[in-house]
Amino acid sequence: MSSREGDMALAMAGLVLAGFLVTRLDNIPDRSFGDPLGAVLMPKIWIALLALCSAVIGVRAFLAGGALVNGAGSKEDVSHPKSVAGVVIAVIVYVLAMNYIGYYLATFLLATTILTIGRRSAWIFNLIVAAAITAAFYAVFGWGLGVDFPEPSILGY
Amino acid sequence: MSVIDGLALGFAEALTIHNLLLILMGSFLGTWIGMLPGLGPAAGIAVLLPFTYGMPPAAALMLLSGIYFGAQYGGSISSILINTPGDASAVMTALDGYPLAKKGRAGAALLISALSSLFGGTVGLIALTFLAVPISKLAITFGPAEYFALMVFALVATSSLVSSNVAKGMLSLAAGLLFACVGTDLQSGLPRFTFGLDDLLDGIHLTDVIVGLFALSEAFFNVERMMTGAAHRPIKTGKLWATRAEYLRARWAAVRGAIIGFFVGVLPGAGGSVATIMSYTTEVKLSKHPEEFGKGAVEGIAGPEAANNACVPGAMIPLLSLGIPGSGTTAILLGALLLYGLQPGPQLFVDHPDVAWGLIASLYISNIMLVILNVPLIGIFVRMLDFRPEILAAIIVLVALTGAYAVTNSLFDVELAIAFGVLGYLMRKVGIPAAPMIMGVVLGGMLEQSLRQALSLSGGSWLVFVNRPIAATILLLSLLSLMWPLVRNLIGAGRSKPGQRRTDVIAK
Repeated sequence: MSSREGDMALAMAGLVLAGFLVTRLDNIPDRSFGDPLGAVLMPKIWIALLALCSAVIGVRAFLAGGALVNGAGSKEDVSHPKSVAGVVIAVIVYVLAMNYIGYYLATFLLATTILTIGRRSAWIFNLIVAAAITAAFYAVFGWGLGVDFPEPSILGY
Repeated sequence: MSVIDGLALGFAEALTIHNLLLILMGSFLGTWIGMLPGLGPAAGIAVLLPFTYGMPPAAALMLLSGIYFGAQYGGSISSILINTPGDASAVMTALDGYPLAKKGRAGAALLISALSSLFGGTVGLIALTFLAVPISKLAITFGPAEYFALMVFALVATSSLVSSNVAKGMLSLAAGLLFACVGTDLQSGLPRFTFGLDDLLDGIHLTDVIVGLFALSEAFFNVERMMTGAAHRPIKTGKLWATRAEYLRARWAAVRGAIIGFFVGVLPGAGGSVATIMSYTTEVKLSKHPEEFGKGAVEGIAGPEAANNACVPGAMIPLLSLGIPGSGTTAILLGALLLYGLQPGPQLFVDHPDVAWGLIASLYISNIMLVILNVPLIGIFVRMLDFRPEILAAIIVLVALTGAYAVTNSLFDVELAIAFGVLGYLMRKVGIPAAPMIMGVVLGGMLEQSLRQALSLSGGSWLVFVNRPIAATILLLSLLSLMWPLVRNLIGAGRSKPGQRRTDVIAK
């Protein structure tokens, strides 16, 4: 996706979000005697700011025609979205699975997954490192800091 | 309490075995975090923040500020040895640090960098020590109108200065302010933007935003780098010594850098990267041999390094004295103070002098520890540059998720952190800065409360912001800072580029 397309998509997303949030304002109380500002004015102002900025970005992208400089933060010239998507999916599955298989097993599997995404050929090394990371997490967070992690609930435990 | 009494209290608080170990750990971790490309102090503090909840607030702040300070030292190591700055404030050091290292003078570059950092940090800390309390006393006279104006200034200045695209900075800010609205309204007791979810009635936890936006999104970028990047082999450091001539050339650059860095650090929105650029361009302009810059000029190392370390105490002044953060990192520290139940601002020095002065004293100790760590122990840090990126990515993701869970023992917070992580990743892809968003989340609630209080006191009249001169002046400055990028672009369009040489140097 080019810079221009990214900015156009960003502008559309901002405007849609602003429109959606406007529909959620009905339940928020307005001004009262003891509260001259009310609870709805500031959200309205922030939504308006969001919409305005989105519109400015969209108009600039539309008029630019060619590639745009995105500004700070876009200087990352590496792109491998599939690997990131893989990690995000793994993380989501990790959270969902934690209640069933417990924190430590889920952590071991997530660590193995991320290491394997990085180096598929070294799977034995990845398993050993993942086990070491899990053990370190138990030592530091489970035993050291006493964090109460989810226990496995599968098979009735 | 006088400055001397305050410092004595602070050192008494800091010079315990437990706190010294925490300062050492923070300094070590901060150096390592600052050294790793892409991982800055904000990400480091974000990852560790949840685990500091059980600690006494003073101790927790000593750890976190040690990371902040250490990261400034660490960024220069990777700049000099592998031409890959650890974070934005270390970019200028790479321009002359790496060329000097390639000439076989890596040891000299590292030594001058460490000593300039020590000098800059010391100057900044002395200024912080003597200015923090007077500024906080001035702030006691501030009412809700003045605080509202200050917060508007901080938010607008950060959003307009942190990015070359003001619209994107303001977009990020607007999103952060909207996130701050989520939850139960304090005045009416009714929910706002909770979408029927009971978990959102308390609002979005600051930890989830910080961990997601800074730590998780950074981990996702590390995953991309590990898939596409080649490992850099660091240059051998050699002996850590510099010639007398190099010391003499570096000394005034360090002095100028320290002064520039401190005053830039005080300003909201202008952080270490701005300070180092200003310092570097100053040295180029003042040098009798400007052609040497970009090829290993020691002034090009000493000035920026002194600047980025003086910037840290400078940024602490608005945070501690006014309760207003000036950057994404200090916004996270402000969030930490709030999470510990402390109200930053003028009352911090009155109600919790042990915390305020303990923090300042810990920075003095950290400053010295960092030179000890960075000079004789440089070999250990160089070996750590060879850390496998996939292991680092796995550790950061797991620590971040564990931290998000540990706050409330709720998987909902972990889910929110993941959502913010994905959001932070996408934001960076399209060039939206994260600092304004985090500042919006941290300050949004306080901003609204200040405004409501100001209007309640004035009977609903908005003229309160005009009739009170301090508030009016600050709001005018906010407007000017919003217009400044536009004015700067118009001025630049009508001139030949004065920074052409710097641009050429940077392009090498």
